[in-house]
Amino acid sequence: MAPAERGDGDEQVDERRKRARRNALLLGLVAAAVYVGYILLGLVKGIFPG
Amino acid sequence: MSTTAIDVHAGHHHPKGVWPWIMRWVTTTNHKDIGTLYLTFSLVMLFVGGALAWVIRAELWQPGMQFVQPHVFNQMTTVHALVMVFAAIMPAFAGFANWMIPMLIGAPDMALPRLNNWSFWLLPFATGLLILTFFLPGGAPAAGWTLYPPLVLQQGASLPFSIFAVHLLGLSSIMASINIIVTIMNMRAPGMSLMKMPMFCWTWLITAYLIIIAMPVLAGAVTMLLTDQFFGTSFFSAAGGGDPVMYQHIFWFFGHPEVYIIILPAFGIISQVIPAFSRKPLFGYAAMVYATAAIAFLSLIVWAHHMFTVGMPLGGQLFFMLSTMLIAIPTGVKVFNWTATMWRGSLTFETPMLFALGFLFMFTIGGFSGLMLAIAPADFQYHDSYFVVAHFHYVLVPGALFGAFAGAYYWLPKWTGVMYDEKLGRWHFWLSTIFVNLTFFPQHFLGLAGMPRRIPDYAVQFADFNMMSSIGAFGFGAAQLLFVWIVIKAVRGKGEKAADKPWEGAEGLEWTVPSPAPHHTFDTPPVIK
Repeated sequence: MAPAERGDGDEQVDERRKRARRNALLLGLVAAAVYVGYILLGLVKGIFPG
Repeated sequence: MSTTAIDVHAGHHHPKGVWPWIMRWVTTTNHKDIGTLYLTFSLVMLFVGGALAWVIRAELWQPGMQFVQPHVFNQMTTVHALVMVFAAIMPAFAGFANWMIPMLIGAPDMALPRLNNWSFWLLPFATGLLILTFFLPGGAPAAGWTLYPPLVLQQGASLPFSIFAVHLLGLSSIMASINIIVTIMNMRAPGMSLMKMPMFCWTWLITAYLIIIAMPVLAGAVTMLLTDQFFGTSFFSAAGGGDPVMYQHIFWFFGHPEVYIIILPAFGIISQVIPAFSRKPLFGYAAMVYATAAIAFLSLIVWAHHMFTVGMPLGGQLFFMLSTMLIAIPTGVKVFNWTATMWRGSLTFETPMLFALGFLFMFTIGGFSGLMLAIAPADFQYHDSYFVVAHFHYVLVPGALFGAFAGAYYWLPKWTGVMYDEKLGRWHFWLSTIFVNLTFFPQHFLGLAGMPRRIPDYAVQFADFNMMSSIGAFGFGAAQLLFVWIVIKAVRGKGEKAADKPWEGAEGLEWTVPSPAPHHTFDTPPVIK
């Protein structure tokens, strides 16, 4: 939970940055999964109509 | 750098000498510097894309072939679109995000400053790669910005260059988006809950998620083009058992959200500007947030309305027609809420408000013609005509670009510390508004009368409206030089000194810091009650 929600300023900026780095890695993995996923979808013929 | 003489002025570091000055910008991790880099780059690219548009409009000045060969004309339309979308408009809003999001949420900087630097510096190289294709055998890509196979696979050496450029541009956008999401989710000042954030942050948060979902799909599509061309696959080749229509589905699964990736940050800016100059809080804040999220969700399930004419089952046509029309509901919520914000407000019409109002009127024209295009049976008539060109230019130019101008004038005093020239600003607005309508309104009539898009020559009955459109385009481009002059004047500090809060009705943390904003803001987080 972000410090904003807790309503306190105890967490240091460095700690927030550390948490942000973990989240960023996760989002990067999501993007990579979408990329690979669509190529795999492309390999499977007839998934799309038309 | 430690041995370099540094002049510290208002917290800004001004290294002496050319090389240290270059390295300061190349290696900067400051969100304000990177915001400035994005904004400057996008302004330059606006003129590069504009120059290509001028070639298009010069060729279409009158029937017959005047200046360029048909193949070169197709290169112009293709690269104009790619440059404007990926190198002008998207980086412009990324610039606003970099400059403003940390200040709006009370954070000292973006969460990942080095990633931020890399996101920006990929852009000039990627765009350079794209523009260099003009000098290759066969020239630049000429199959339209959609890069449809099989056409795009039949054209010269530009394909791998443009695909690599698209990969890099996508990577840059994805990294910037990741940075924006983690900044907003982790770096807000104590007390700033999500539902207290300024609307600009909300629209960018939602846009960033859209980018992460949509951009890898484009990257996937162009990678498949690359392997079809060079590695013997047949994803999109009917001869090898593939399907070219599948490319269109995959491309538009990216392409439609892309439209909203461009317009949502503009919505955010308009939601900041209209309340400030109406001296009233934004009407229906929560509804605005939910409407933005609804638009983003719907944008992911409407893609095949771009390709009704390729043929699809009746159920598919109905689904994509109705889901597209549904977008009018949350968009209507936003338009009516902006109008309700102004209702009984004490309105003043400084340049940012003029651009916001221009946005409101003219984006809505683009929205309405979008509804017309959504009607599947009618789309069979409109498809690939100038009506489509008129529609999306209304959304992107007096829509997205005017949104960016509104934001630039609104925040220029905070960025530069001086008030821009208000009189010139109004001239910029009125000239832009007159010429943008002269350019694009006649294109509706041309399209309805049957003029196809992406052609360098046309039948004589289209001559008059084309000439009007060309005059408009030349005038619109020239009017933008005024904006450059206004910005240069403000950056050089020529003008009245700006107060910390130059706009009486403006709300937000950015107005609590001095103008110009110091290099580092909110090292100690502000507490929001």
